[in-house]
Amino acid sequence: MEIHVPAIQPDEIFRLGPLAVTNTVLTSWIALFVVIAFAVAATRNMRLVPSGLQNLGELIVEVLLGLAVQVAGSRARQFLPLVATLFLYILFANWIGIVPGVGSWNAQLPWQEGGHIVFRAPNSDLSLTAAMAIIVFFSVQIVGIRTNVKAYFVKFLWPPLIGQLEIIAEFSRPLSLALRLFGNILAGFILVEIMLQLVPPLLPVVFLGLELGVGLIQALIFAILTLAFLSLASSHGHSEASPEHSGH
Amino acid sequence: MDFTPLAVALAIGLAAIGPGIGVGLVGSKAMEAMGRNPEASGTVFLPMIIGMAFAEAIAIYGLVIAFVLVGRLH
Repeated sequence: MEIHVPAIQPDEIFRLGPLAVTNTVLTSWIALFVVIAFAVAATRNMRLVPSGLQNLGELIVEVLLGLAVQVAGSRARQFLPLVATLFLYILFANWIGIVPGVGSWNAQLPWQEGGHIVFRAPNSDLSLTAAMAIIVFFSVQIVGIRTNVKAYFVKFLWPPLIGQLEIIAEFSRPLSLALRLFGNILAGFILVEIMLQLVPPLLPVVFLGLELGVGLIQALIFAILTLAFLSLASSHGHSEASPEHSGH
Repeated sequence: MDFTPLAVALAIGLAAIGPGIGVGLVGSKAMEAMGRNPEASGTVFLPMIIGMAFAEAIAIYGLVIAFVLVGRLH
């Protein structure tokens, strides 16, 4: 029995000039649109006493801020915009991979030969996760430089061998961020695709449920790691702010 | 003789050993901590999840290699 394993490389749907728009990019636009639409709707006509969408938005921000304070202490507010955006976008991008049709709807568009999957989980594309990791990389370097220019460069020079290893560490962090998210989501996508060919239709549902949890956890991990790296970069030269110990 | 199918199996099989043990260790220590001090369960839970994701990431690296190799089968 021939099992067809989907290609890692996403299919191209159309081109905008020299740039190829793949099914993952297309789906990421949808996830982006949902997040932005929610943000715009929640901040429209803001009142001091929130209600409706603004209330939900404030709830989300409060929960994320609480989490961020546990990791980064007093600097949490400064980093929250980037970290929270990463978390919410990655969460939506991962969960949109579970929506019926995403990853399973094959269509042959008029200008193509052969069928292609039209929508695919955005983070199952290494390009997208790497893009976010690159943004994190530059953010961390910039925060490090702004905190203490001298200490930032000295870190790579002294102690003699360990300093040089620091360079490798700096590059390995965004690499692992990208690969972790990519590997998890790709694995889920391929697993569901294979299950659909083996034991439809009930077993794939179990794995889709697993995708729900994995999507949430990986979004959380990406965001928390970003926050941890930023916090680390901004603490060189002063003592590390210790996380609050609350007795909830 | 083509060793690629063997390579695919070994890539993920061997890559899963270490992280499997690692995740188990993290989980067991977390369970122990929660058992000793049930009040701290909320505090222990999130770092446990983070630790498990770190350990699991190593296995994911092996899985990505396996996928790449599967794409190159014949």
